[in-house]
Amino acid sequence: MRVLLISTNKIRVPRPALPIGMAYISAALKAAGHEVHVLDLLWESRELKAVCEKLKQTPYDLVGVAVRNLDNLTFIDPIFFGPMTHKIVQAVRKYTSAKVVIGGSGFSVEPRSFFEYSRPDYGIAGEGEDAIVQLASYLETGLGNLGQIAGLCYMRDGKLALNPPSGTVDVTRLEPDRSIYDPRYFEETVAAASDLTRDYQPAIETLQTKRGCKMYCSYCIIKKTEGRGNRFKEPRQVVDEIKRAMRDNPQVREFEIVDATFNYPLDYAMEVCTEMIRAELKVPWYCQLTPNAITPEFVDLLERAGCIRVDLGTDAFTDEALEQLMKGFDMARVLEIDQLFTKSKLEHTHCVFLGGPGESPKALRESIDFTEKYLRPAQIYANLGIRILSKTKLQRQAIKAGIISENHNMFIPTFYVEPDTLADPETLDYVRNAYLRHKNWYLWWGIKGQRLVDRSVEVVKRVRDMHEEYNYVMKSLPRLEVWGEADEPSSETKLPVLKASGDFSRTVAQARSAAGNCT
Amino acid sequence: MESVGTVKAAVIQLECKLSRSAGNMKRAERYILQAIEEGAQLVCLPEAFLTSGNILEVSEVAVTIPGECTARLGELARQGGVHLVAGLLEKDGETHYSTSVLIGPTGELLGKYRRVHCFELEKQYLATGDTFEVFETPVGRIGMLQGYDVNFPEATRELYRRGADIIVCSALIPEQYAYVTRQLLPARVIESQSYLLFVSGLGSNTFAGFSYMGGSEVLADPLFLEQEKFDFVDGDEHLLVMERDEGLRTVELDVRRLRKYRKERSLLGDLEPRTYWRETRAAAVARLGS
Ligand code: B12
Ligand code: SF4
Repeated sequence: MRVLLISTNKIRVPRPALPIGMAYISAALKAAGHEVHVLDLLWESRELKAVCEKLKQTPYDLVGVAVRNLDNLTFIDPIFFGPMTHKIVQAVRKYTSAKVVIGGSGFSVEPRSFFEYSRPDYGIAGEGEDAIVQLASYLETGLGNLGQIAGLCYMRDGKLALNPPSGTVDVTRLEPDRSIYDPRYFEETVAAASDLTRDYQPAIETLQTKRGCKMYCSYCIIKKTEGRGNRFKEPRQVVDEIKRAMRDNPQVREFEIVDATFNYPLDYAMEVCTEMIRAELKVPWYCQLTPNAITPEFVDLLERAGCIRVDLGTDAFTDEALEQLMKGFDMARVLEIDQLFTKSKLEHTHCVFLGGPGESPKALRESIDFTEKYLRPAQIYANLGIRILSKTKLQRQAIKAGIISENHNMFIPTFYVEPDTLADPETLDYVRNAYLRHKNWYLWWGIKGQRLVDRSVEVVKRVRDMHEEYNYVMKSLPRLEVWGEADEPSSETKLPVLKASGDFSRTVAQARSAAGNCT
Repeated sequence: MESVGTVKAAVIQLECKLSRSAGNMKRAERYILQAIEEGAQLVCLPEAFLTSGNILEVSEVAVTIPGECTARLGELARQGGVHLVAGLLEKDGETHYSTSVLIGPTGELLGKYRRVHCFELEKQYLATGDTFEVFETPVGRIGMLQGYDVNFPEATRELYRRGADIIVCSALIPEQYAYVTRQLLPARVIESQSYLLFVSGLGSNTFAGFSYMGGSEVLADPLFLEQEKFDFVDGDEHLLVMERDEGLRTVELDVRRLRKYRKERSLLGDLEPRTYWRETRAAAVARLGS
């Protein structure tokens, strides 16, 4: 079959993400004997024009639309990619007789409403390597059973069938097809405005060491994209893949591990680092870590393995919010980890949400004071509020807090910002001033020019417009009934809270009571 | 003032790189010297040529006018005896503008234009200018615009009313607007009965994630050209069109003949200023979307 894969990702911050998901799909299709062409819209200034031209050039049998980001998850500056995907499907219909299938994490987070809105022939939720090959074979030969393709969304007897994703693809036999990457990804560029620790971004490669995550953060959708259980590559395989990628592309200077959480489980991460040290890899790299599983030995291993920067999924700087987010650690632990990294050679960034569930104006102000006084990260990367996606605990919390209704459609950007905090201009100013004061704290690139309260009013309107646009499109589309809806297990399971050693707990307690006295 | 004749104008389509002011200046200097060598009398650079469109860091990268950069441009202008137009991010105390400067052949700053139209986001970083001045020079009356202004016929109309022969639009426009911009330019030149030098920057804004269009053009009012030339064909109003490469191109502009044409065919007498702009902005905005 001749297949065209279109990567729709347009986001370049905090750095352009290589379309590794599409590269895995390409590898799987090529291994099954199909001819694969690609179009990467990151490099096109007029995306739909590029799509139409490509479609007119060559006849394709199947067009795969890779949607990494449904939106940018950013309350303060929401960007929504649903409409673009819908138009791409319409273009495929107009210019070709090809079947069109949508996949990628942006599809997987909200498959039902995404399908209903964009009306492709098929959607694939979750991992796509096996499913796309099975689908292509079905389309080519008419053989096989669509009902058995994991994650497949398709029309069955006039209804929308949503097969549950299985999260069982064998990761040890996979490697992405890196030949599809546009060479422009590998040009050194000025670092994005949101990357405050460096001026230039050298060329990087990315890779996965495993899939799945066993933690239960309240807003997380990992069960929909990768699955809950872990599946690992052999550490040796990981190192060989890096070496090969670097050898095949001499422009690459660094690499990034794109596991949702590299250090959970910790022993596997340590094995990977040990293997890198043994293989004398000597390439700078970075990864995302949870504060849940970090020890001095691990930090030492990271350093020796060549890791230069880590993004910590700290998520909040208050105990209240950490608990609500089900992070499984508290502020004392955050402080301990912060000090551990401050002492090391690694650059560490705390990624946090401000105004998440439970984060009252008072708690938020206190957290800022605490952060200023005690934490010494290379960078803080903050977001105001949290994107609510369906079938998460956060969705239930938002319904309970009256932020959304039971039947609210999560497909269109929808956010949890603690209502009291959003309604408190002084606290928002307090936050803004703090983020302006610290050159290495990032909240939003436009923060210099506008008060957060004014911005919030604009954003709420902008999001309302997105919902209206959606309703406009949906007016002409009949609603789809679901054929045997899949029930997924609840994400309510709680992790035990990881307590830090006595000293750190005391510092946090003292800081909080001091803050309480003066506010 | 001696009467104006033909003018050789040079368009420098420069790749303006973020955070590389020194390098941008060096390349600009090289092209200016080359233009002088080729006999140009008017040499033009793109908008924000020194810093690219780095508005996020405007307070750090903007320059004062006059200042070190305009002094260096002045030196070059004096050296070649040329007029020079260049776009800069300007710092004036705590306020910032996107500004074009006009420097004369003795090196002095003849004038500047602070961009009047800024889009919503820019307004968080830049202040807007408040006038469209036209400068009387030996090469003709020069009016200046910048990229975003091409969306506003009001801007060219104002310069037209003030008698501009040559409009230098130093631009830095995201590639996604290339098509519309190319559609607008002929309209702007027809309604202003002038020469329009669209001097456009290249390069990419990695903060915002897009590239700039390049595609510099020099246009003349086609009705004027049709009257002048026996062999005018539609499209000939583009006297010069550049693609997406950095470089220098020159073109001859017959300002004397253009003035003659304008005198005969002026639209000025037919303008009805009493009828324009009677609707308030508030009322117009309120109607939007209703
Ligand atoms: C690592 C990561 C990052 C790193 C990326 C580093 C880098 N250099 O690439 C960092 C921290 C920088 C980052 C930033 C952002 N991220 Co991120 N990120 C992830 C994470 C954890 C893994 C992504 C990844 O590479 N996975 C590995 C690949 C192989 O998986 P995949 O792309 O899903 O592909 C598989 C399937 O989707 C499918 N598939 C993919 N394409 C196609 C195409 C077809 C046709 C088919 C059939 C199937 C298919 O098959 C593939 C193989 O199984 C995911 C969460 C997750 N676990 O999914 C979030 C995730 C992808 N990120 C997300 C977002 C929104 C962002 C940001 C916009 C956040 C922000 N505001 O800054 C930015 C955008 C960055 C960018 N330039 O696009 C969202 C996107 C979904 C959504 N809700 O819209 C996710 C899912 C997280 C979430 N909480 O929802 N991210
Ligand atoms: S650590 Fe939390 S947010 Fe990250 S993938 Fe696991 S469950 Fe999701």
